[in-house]
Amino acid sequence: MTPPQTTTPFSAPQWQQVQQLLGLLDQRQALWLSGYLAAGAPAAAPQAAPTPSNAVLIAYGGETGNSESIAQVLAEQALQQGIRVDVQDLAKLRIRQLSKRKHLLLICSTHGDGDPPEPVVPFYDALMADNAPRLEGLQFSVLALGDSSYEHFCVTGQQLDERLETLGGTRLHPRQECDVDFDEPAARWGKAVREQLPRSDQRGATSTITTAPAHSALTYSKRHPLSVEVLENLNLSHPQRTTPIHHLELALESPDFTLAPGDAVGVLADNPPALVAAVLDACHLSGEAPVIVQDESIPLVQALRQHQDLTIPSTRFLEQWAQLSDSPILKQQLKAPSKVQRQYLKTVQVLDLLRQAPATPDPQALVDALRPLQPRLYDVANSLEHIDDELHLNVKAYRYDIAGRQESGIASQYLLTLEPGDTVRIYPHRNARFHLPDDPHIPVILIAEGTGIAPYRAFIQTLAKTRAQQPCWLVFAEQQFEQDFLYQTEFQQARQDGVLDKVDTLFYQDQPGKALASPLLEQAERLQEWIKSGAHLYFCGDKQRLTDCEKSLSSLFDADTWKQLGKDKRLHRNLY
Amino acid sequence: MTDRSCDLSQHISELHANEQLKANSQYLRGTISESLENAITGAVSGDDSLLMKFHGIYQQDDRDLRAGRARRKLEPNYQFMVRMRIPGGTLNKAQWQGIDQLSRRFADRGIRITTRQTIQLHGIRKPYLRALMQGIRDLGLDTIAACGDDSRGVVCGSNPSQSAIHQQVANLARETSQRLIPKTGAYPQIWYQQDRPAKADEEPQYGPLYLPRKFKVGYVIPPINDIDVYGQDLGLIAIVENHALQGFNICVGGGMGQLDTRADSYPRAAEVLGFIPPDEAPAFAETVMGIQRDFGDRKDRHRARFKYTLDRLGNGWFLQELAQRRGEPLAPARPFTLTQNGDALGWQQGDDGLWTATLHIENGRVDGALRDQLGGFFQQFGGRIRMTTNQNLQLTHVEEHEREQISWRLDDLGLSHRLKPDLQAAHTLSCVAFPTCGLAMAEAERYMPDLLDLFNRLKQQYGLSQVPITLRVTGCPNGCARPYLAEIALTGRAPGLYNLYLGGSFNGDRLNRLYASNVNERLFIDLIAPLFEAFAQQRECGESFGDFLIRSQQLDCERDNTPLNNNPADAHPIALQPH
Repeated sequence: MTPPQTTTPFSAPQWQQVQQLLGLLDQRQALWLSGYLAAGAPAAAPQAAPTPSNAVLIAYGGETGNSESIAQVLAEQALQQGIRVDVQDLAKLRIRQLSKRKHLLLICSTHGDGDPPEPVVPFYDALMADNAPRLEGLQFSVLALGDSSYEHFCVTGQQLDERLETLGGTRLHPRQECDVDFDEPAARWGKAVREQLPRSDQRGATSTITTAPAHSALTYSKRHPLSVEVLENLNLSHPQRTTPIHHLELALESPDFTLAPGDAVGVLADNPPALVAAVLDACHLSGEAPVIVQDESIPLVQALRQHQDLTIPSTRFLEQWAQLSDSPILKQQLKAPSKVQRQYLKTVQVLDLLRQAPATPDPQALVDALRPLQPRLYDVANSLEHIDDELHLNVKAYRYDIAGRQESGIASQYLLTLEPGDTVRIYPHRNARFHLPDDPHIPVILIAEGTGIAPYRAFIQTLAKTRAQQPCWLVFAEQQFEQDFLYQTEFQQARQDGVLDKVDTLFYQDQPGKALASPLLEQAERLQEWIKSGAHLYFCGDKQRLTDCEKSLSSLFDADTWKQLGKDKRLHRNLY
Repeated sequence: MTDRSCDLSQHISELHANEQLKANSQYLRGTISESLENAITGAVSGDDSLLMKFHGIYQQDDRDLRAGRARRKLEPNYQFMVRMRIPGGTLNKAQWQGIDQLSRRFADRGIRITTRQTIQLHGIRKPYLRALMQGIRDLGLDTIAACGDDSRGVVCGSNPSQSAIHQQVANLARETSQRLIPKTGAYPQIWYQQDRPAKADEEPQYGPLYLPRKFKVGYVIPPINDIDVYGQDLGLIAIVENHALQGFNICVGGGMGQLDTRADSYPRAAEVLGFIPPDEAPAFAETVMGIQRDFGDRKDRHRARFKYTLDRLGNGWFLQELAQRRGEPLAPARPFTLTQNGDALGWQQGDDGLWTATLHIENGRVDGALRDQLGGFFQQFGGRIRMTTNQNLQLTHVEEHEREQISWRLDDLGLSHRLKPDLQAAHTLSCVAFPTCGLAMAEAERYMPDLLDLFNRLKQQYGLSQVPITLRVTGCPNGCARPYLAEIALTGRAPGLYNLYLGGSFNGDRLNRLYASNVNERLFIDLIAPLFEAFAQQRECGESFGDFLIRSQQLDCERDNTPLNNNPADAHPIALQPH
């Protein structure tokens, strides 16, 4: 092979060396190398290759922060046992790094409908791709997080687990699937995998946790929430709207409770007192009976009010209640295939089962049978740069049909009925992928439906305060112009002050037949210009509507352009 | 030397901000089109809302909802009132039906017949304004100059008994309106989305500054003074001799509006200054309007009406200026008689043999069942329609042989009681006030049913049920329902509180006077009751309540009469007419 005369950047001796090396490689290796070089391997890589590959890689992925907290706890315990670990977010993990690893502990959640969580998608796609690297020599174990009330329970974890094996990896320990009460099984899995891992010589000396979380994230958590006072709970909607949207203002007197615009808070909602009373009645139990929850003895009524989920029955609950009640109907259900069983559990609530199959359980048995009550995430609707001692939330009443009646969502009902002076327990939750670009000159296009406006209110407050030059285009959709234009006067002011460069609205009832994307499609040229000038696009709100919107917008561009926007992290999604 | 220190001879920068707005508006365009496109607000910009008045459109909001919406972080519930230009108040059946449909499609609270004999629709939302304006155009109507600093809709008396004369006068009223309206291409450009016209001088009559304030022209046909001719900037009083229209007595300088906070603002009755031949009327109106355009006060909007120009410069000056522009002085006024300012109700036969039925419409509001009843009635109606300045509806051009059938249909549709309304209701007027009028300080239209009930019971107590008394209630002192020409008037000061005016004449030729300030309902009864008692005991044959108060000097005694505003009506010469 002679060097191509016109284009080679190599000297003759260099070219010789390249030829020699290539001669040693088989086709697969050559292909890998071409990909490696094409992907922008650092030029100095040959000399300076860092060797963290002996460290165990703990990789986590999810949207709620549960996988991250499990990873952090596991890492600390591993370090104490002298295991060298390296913690990484799957959102940032490049797949070829895996091929350099010997040990991988993968902790990953599944989105409600069986999709990988949004931040995990690039990693997931790369791993599933036909050209994914071989992983012979990799020992791995997967902890799959999920929610058994969904049909595709833990499916992302299952898929990753199987794929790692297909690519040549070997299982260090079988996959562990966890429901929403993951604490115990996750701990069990952690203990088991640690026993399989090699110890380094210097115990605990080489901590290489790369994603050390901000101090505040450890200060307040689901387990250690902050109690804050409700200052205001305002119905922004017409009194006749069946799903009203409220604006809540909470007093924030803890300077260490830090949040950036785009972040959320986890809210620990209480069950409604009437539901707690109904459960106690159905079981013929007194609320005063002491029970142990999270290693603490508390009255049963408190456990039911604050700690246990009183709506969604788990498979385990079905098993236990079938036994306790000795109900033939429930026992019949138990015998059904798991898919049928899961389907059945979607059509009833805990109280339906308690009433249908009466029993008086031991109070502790009742508590243990129930799922833990999950916190709900709400995007913070204000910027702490604008007001630093308040947190604002934008909450819509959630209603759903079950067992032939309409029920209200526990968390939204709880928040909507709070009164000034009440307290509410919250903890901060970072939406790392839903922040303003670091560069204050990059244009942003903010697209929201309904309460999806909340983080944008925070963005726009920050823009007004410190980033007046940042071009900003807001697109908002709701039902009716006259009643549902959330924060209308504030956005009008921002528009008048030039903070917002463009505001487009869509009100479905006033403009039937139009979709969220319509205002943008009608201004396709302007949108293309903004994108050309580097704009980031944000999507926030109802998953279906926002996904449809993104699909419509992407049709204005060729597929590669849109894909590239994703790769460049210029598409930000916050969907629910 | 004529004092020209405050008129348009001064540099624009010296004049009121509204004058500068008009001058910079490119003949009423402003940024109205841009404001219509701005979808994040239901309002138009502040300047555009002023300019849109010239197009017949008032921006309003539902004041009942303001505070609640502000808490909900929503702007006020902005909406628009659209007032049509219907000179003389005549419509054909298809036009009524078209307006009925437009009101159902675009408006809240039906159709309102105004005290200037036209129709206004309330509650139009911004996105539908253009569609409504084009709908009005398609009916052969428009809204130009229904509000604003220009010649407002020209009214014409609706005396049904003098059909032939009425026909002549109504034609002159229409011609006058056509002559006096702004001609700017802004109107078709903005509302019908036509191209901007090429001509540079879009307003030969007005120029770029239009008028200092509104200018009202009205024609009256004695003896019915339904239009309140003494409340017009320019009134034309038909002089009929030997069953023929001889011409018009002209009266100038009437106007109702006043401010409670300013001693130098006052209602004024027009003064009769002379006589003109009939055919001159439209051109004459333009000449008078030109004088006001050139000499009216453009620095102080509260002194800008023609009545103040006349008081400032004097009748002598006016007659001289007029003679100069007209080429000759005015002929002397001729005798005439006015008997009442309410409508002649029920069936009336004209001198052409055709019949007119006047239906009483409370507050001019045609909504709900009434709109449906009228809609049903007009399906089978072959005549024409006229609105009156007392907010009533006339069925005109009814042939003798149709009368019975029409009577039967009115009866069948539940409308016949409107031919013989409660006597007092027929002599009662109110303005819109809450919730949509931005100026209102107290209720008017919405309070009227309760007040009328109370008032009727009081009259009954003193045996006065068969004596009509003109009663007018407004939500503020500005005078939309011509309160200062009523025998009894209440003008709003605060919720539940009114200034009480007494002593106007039954035929509308004498202003009333402030009798007590800040009167609530209880006090109103307490103040009126002794006067009714005296009236019942001492009334002379056929004497009206207002005339009685003046004759018996009831208003001269010292009372709680320390007005907030030094009411100048007392001090002002009241025009007395030859009867």
